[in-house]
Amino acid sequence: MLANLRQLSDRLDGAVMVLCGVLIAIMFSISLFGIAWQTATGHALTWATSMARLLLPWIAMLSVTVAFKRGEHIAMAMLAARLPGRLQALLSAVGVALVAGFALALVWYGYGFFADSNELIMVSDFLQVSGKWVAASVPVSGLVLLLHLVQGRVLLGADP
Amino acid sequence: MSWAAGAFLLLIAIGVPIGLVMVAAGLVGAVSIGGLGYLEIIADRFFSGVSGFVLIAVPYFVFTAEIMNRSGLTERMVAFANSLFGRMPGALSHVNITVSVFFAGITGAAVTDTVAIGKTLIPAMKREGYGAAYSAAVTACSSIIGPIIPPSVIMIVYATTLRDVSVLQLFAAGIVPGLLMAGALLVASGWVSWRRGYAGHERISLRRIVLTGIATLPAFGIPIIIVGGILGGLTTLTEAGALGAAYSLALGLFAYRSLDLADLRGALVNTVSFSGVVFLLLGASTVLGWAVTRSGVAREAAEAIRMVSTDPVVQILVVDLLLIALGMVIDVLPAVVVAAPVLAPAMVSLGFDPLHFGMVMLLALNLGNITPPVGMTLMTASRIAEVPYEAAIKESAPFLASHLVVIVIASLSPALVLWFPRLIGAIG
Repeated sequence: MLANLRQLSDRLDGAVMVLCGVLIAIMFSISLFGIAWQTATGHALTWATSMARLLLPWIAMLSVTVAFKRGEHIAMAMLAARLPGRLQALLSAVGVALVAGFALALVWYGYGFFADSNELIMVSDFLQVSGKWVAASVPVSGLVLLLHLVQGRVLLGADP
Repeated sequence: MSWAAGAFLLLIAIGVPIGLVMVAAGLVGAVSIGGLGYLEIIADRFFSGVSGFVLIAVPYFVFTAEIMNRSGLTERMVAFANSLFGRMPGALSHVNITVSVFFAGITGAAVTDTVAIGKTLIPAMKREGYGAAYSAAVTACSSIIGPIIPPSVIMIVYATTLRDVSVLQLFAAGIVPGLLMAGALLVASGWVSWRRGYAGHERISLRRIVLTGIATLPAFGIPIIIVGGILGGLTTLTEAGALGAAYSLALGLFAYRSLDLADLRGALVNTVSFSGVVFLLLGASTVLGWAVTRSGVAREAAEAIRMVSTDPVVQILVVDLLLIALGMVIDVLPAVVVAAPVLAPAMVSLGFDPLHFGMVMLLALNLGNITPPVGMTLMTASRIAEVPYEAAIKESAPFLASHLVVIVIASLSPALVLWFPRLIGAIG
């Protein structure tokens, strides 16, 4: 059961990584197009800024889960590493519980944030996007992180 | 708020990721102010912390650094720097410092610069008879120029966290202290090399300088695009980041022809992962900052500093010591987001210029990269040199002293730090 869930977490992480890569590539292309447009016409491409604003929160929130999955978030591990094995295991359990609490808070309060997001993001005169599309990045990232909890101490930087 | 501070210290000590600790401490602080209902700030504040438009530049700068570190740039820069020092004793040690300055204008992250430069120069220095520990020390101690000379991710993080100084102002303010750091390190390197009789190279040849310079020249396009574009008012930060990334990609793929698909994939994976580290800290700092602002802890900090002394010289030097101590136990990036919301408003309320103090704070915290026990950059360099961390710490002493001199000069001379920002009109 746990092995299957870990496999699922690995696959989801792979998919999130690809999605982040694609979103960065799109944002990068839009930024370059915006610069080229402004250079050629002398006018700023306003939708380029709005599009980047739509993509950035997704890249940011999802990349946080990617860094968790790889145990790359910065921690001060020197003190804990000097403690006896059992105490280390206990502290790791506390750390994983905190990650779980963080993920749950992102899902629970993030859903409320998503539901309450009524603003409209003006992409152009003809295209407006609901703020819910961007706000959804918070609970969705929480859900991704919840699944990664099956990786246990790896989320805190321990070897798999 | 004392509950929040207690939770903060305990969780950091037991090795919980610092971003998570900041979220937890911020929420404990929020609950102590307004009850459990305030827990809901996490979604709104965290989202706000990671969605600022200027932050689009973060993945761009990380990607540029990743691409340049994989493009064989180091060898070209080493060859150019090598041509500049000729028969001077300890030439390769000076080359190490000079290459770090070149890299600082391109990447701006100490650990990645250490890896890129160390992997090439540490083995070369060992072959020329330099001690392995010394080679590690000079590599790590010069790499920390990276976050001070623009572009710099920690400057973007500082400006985003605090919002009373702009990235442009910080970029402009970093140039003089960064060059001062390089000068001070060259003095230390010269002194050690002369005392130990480290070797020089062949006589300086103008032809060699020109040839190696031409081979390196395209790489200097990156600081010109990024730093020149932003400081010259030609581009915004995000535009400069995008142009720098595009240029580095074109350089690696077409000019140097040193990148393959695996490099691109690796660069993108590392970009996403490192951006995640930065974004957790930014989101968390906004949650913690919310509680800190409402708790009045910055006002208390200002009072505490005033109680130590009313003399501004003593005040800033005491804060320097505090920041260096903080940097010794917490990595520089989280240390910035932890300390800035408390200390910067406190120092500004005591009459210090926000840009001057911001720069001093970054200089002092940046020293944490090479100070024990958690000197990440020095640890990385000692691993590359295959020497015990303790030996590298010992050899770092003269370079550490150089950095301390620069921090004191920068702390006591606001005019020096603010000279370049004033010159280019970044401040009034």
